Amino acid sequence: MRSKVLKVISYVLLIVCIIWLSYNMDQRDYKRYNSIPSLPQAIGKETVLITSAGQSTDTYIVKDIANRLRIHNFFMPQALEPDLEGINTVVFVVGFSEIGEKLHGITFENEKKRVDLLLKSLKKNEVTIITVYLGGKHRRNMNTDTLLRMTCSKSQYLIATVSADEDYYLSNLSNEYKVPITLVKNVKNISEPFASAFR
Amino acid sequence: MLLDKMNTEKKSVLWAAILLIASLTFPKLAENVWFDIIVKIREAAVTGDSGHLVLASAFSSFLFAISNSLIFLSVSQVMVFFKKKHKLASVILFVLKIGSFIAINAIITKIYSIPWEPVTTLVALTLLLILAKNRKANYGYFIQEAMVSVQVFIAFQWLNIMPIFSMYYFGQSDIPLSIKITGMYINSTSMLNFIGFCFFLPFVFSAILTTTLFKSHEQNIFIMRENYQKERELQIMKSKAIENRIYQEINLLAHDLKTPLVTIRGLNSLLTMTKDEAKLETYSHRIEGAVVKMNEMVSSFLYGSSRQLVSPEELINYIQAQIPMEDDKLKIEIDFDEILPKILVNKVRVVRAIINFLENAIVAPYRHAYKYISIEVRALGDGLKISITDNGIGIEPSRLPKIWEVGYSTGQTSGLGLPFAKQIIEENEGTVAVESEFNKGTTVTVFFPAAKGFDSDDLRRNNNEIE
Repeated sequence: MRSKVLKVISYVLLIVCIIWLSYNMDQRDYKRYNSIPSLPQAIGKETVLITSAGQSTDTYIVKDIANRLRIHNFFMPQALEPDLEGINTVVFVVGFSEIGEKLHGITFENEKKRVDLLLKSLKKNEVTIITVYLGGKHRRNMNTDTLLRMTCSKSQYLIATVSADEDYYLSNLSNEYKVPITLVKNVKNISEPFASAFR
Repeated sequence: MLLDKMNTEKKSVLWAAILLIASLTFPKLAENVWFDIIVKIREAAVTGDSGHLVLASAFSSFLFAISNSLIFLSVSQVMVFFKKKHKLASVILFVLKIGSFIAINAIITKIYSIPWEPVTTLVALTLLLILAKNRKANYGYFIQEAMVSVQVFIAFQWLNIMPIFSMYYFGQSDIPLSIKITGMYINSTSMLNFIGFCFFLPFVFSAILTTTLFKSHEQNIFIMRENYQKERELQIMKSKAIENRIYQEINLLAHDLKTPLVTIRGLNSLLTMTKDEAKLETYSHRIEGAVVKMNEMVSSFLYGSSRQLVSPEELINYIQAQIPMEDDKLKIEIDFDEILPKILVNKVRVVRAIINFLENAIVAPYRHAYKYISIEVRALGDGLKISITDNGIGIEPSRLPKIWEVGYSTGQTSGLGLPFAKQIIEENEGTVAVESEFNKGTTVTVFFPAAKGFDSDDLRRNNNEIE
């Protein structure tokens, strides 16, 4: 009986430790050497096209942020070249989602090709490109990294959550392509740097 | 019908195959539900309604749980086959179970590009294997395992949507991750943590409770089977003991038959010597009488339902013949009324029963200087009462109700005599009762109703019909 009580107490202590650790680990310092809190001056102009690179649901969050900030936008997760007509800024929300792509009946290769064509067209027309990545470290995989590299190489601004940069992949991309980067603590903090790109 | 004819190993293989096919086709069948989850997450992001996230979490937990349960049950059935057919060690089976579970999950993920959660799934699998430890794959085990596995997998899949566990690599795949990111955006992190716990704890608790109940049921069934087996063995032993008792009775009968045989032999030798016709007739009548007596004895023994009109005097004579005369410490007194009713009974059997009571009285331990037994034969109401009272140590009140049970004995006897005697008395329309006072003595009272409306000819005719 006594050993059973001790067992229960030890399990409860273990759970308390886990919760305490998780709380404290969340308070880590998120500063990165090249991260800026927001852009000093606007780089983008309306009208904005919000599209996806990888078909994750994160695109819908960016769409909602843009709407809340009253930034005139078109939301086309599968935008193609003809959709760029009258568009001054394109926001790529990167994040590879297998189910998302299956839902739209496309493969990763199709998606890569679409993004590549869009980027080429945008570069040609000198349209501002902003890359947003909200997936954190867990959505980071080979496909997401490929898409990140593709968009970052042509972007003028990169916004991501800090947990996505644990291996400094995003910081390195920023350095490599000379793109200003803003790392936010979590998704809720994205509004400010996103707004700074337009106002 | 076909399943009934198959042995356990074949059934296991068949179930394993069915479940494997089901687990391989399930993701395809559930594809639309996966898409629906994505749509719900999008709606949550756009509308800010966390209800959509809860629904998406519930759907995803359910899908993960069904898929994993199918795989687990399929693997489990294969292991039942391996265990029975190849007698593999538990450790090997444990490793094989985990290995094949991961392999099938990897194949499904590869084929359908469906996400899976390695950490939570493996933790759930480990808990399932712990719960399944020391359990026997007997009847109903499959359903029990299915119930427990669904509960465990549902419980652990809820951990995937809890942001608090993200750092432990819980919920890394597409759907849980999208739920968590969206939850964070619409300020529902605490709600997701709370909902996750609210579903996780009851399901885990329920799974453990269910397993405990199943284990307890299994144990009860085992004990019941064991008891049934013991009861059967006891019944067999009792039957054998009764059989032995019958042989004993046959021996006694054979012994009793010797008396008329000796009479016949003696008279027969006299027949050869005498030439007096009057004596010849007398001897001849006596021989006839002895043969009739033998015939009655054999009939009484062979046909339990045969009845003879017995006078109490005859009964007393029989009893007296059984009393050992050589024991100085034994005093037996017989007291009987002058006018006693006749009774209609199977003479040989009833006498044997009464002698049995008398033998018990004789062997009963006593603390006096001598054993005193009093036999009273009285006319009581409309019948005959025979009481045998001894001055032995008596029977304890707690033991008194057990004396009629087959095999129950205080140590001196086989435990068969009293039930055998009671059975005979009751078969002959009589009753028997035992009264005992501890340390004072015991009285056995036998009562037979008086014979009415029968004369000897009727009886002879009746017994001839039976024979």
